[in-house]
Amino acid sequence: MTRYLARRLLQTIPVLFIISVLQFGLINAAPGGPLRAYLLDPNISPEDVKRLEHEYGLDQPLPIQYISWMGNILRGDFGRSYFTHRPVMEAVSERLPATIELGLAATLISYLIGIPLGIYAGLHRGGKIDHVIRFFTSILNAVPHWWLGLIIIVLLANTKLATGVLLLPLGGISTIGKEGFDPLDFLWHLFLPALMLGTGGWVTFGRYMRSETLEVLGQDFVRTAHAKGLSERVVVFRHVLRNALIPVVTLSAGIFVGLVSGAVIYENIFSWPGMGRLLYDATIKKDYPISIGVLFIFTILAVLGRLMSDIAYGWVDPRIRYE
Amino acid sequence: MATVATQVAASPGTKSTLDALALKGPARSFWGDAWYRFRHDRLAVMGGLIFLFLCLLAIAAPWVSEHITHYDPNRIDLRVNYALPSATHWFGTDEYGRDYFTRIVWAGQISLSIGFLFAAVSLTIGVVLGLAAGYYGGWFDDLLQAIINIFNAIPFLPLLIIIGSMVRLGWVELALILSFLGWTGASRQVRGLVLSIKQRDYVLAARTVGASNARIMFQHILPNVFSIVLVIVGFDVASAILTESSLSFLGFGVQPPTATWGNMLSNSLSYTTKDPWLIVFPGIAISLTVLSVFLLADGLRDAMDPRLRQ
Repeated sequence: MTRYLARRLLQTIPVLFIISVLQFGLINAAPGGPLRAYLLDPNISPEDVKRLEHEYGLDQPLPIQYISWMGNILRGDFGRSYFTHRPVMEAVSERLPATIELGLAATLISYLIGIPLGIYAGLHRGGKIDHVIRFFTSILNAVPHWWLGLIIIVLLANTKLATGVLLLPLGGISTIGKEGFDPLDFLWHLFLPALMLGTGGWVTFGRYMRSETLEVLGQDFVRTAHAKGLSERVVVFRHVLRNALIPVVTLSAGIFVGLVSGAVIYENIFSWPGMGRLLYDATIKKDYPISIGVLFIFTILAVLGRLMSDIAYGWVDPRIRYE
Repeated sequence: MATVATQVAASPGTKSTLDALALKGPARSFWGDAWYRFRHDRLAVMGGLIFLFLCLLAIAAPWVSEHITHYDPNRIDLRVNYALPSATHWFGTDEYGRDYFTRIVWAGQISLSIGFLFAAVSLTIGVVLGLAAGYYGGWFDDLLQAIINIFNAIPFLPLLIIIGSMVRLGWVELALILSFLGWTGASRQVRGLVLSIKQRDYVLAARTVGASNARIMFQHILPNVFSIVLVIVGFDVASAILTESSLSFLGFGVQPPTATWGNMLSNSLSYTTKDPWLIVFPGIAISLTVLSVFLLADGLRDAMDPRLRQ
């Protein structure tokens, strides 16, 4: 296990290397180059910019620039914002918790809804509820969930205007003007964005769980379990569920990457103060050090998510051996 | 296999159909058989018809706006802005008084063009690389898998946002960038299939009579992965439409005044209290298109799956 882990960790190094080269390329492709923010500053003349470029080594060949850039990244220095001049890492780490909280909540929701729904549909194949579930998941699979989120916000806002009752917050992470951290208020704000972000996940999990349950139900060991007189509950939980869970675990990595990508659009719609929102705001202002710093952290999160799901894969399926 | 057999045996009426098929009907080819099953899948046929209709509507967008709605998609008339859906403006008008239905139809042309161009380019890359990797294996396969791992680690939407802010993207550029990022799924599926096909006897037979690698790949293996490719086209078209709409919604995709479903939605957000209809129609257009493609692709997959053959 330790050896497998070590090897998997080593395998992520070339991936991160190539991605860092791509991102370095992006920084240099940005119009105006790294000193762009100073080009419009009346206190700094074009000659000063030239001199600064020389002093900062920005006139060096790109490979040499890359090495010093990478050295800084390894020390946790992602540069500074063009506008606020704050270190990128400071701005990003401020936003990281909100994104992780939203992502975890969405993952939890997709497991909690998708797995029971899929198993139920699989166990009652062809029944009325199975048809209803399949109908709605097919539709939900095609509808952009962020659009659904918009519609819900508009409905909530209109109910508020009509009746004065605010069923769910329209955005943000806490009620404005509230002092300190209130867990209930936080959960109240978290619910809708997490539900919307998690919809893609539970629909996918539900569909896979259903077909996987059907597959497992046809296996000999399920018949054996029934034959030796085990109760339905034990058969379902001990034998069917555990085997049917395997694809869910493999899918989790993809879902996690999707959640990270999706964070940008959902955080934007729900004014969630996470990294996605930061990336959006920074990119609008063409504050590329921040955008690219966020992209880098997103990538690392995605790589870690994949790694974790590989490990979990062996945990749910004892037939997988790490050698 | 067993489940299909029991199902068939259990449902009355199927047996006589089976007999009729087996005894009286002429022998059917793979495609004939697939077509037969596709025709009998009501949801798939419905999806196919809706999708066909949407495609025709998109192709005929100039004709529709000239002869049916009589509006130009970008013609501004402030006297009629925020009109509600009515007989003159089917979907109402937006804040500039532009006819919303006409704009939706023109936007469909862009979305579907992006979808098809993406499918064509990404599948060409994906199929060729997947075919070669599955067929040759070895270092080329390892290299390709490593590259796919790298691509899969990149969060696309954030990257597209950054690219979109650096370069102004038209629909062609957008489709090409999406293809460059999105070919990995197809190549992995094709590779998996080729790995099993290349073990078959007819490949060995072709090699024995001296066929070249290229001939074996393109003449003998490619036709056998074609059915999977057709299904991937469907899912590719849908995913490109969804990605484009997200990107345009965030403001980094195709720019106004060119209408796309995504930028129409983004625009409608400023007028939700004044005219909530503006937020409804583009979303329905996206959902209907994607749903019809999914139904069609699902149906094609079932129809061409030899294990479900009756």
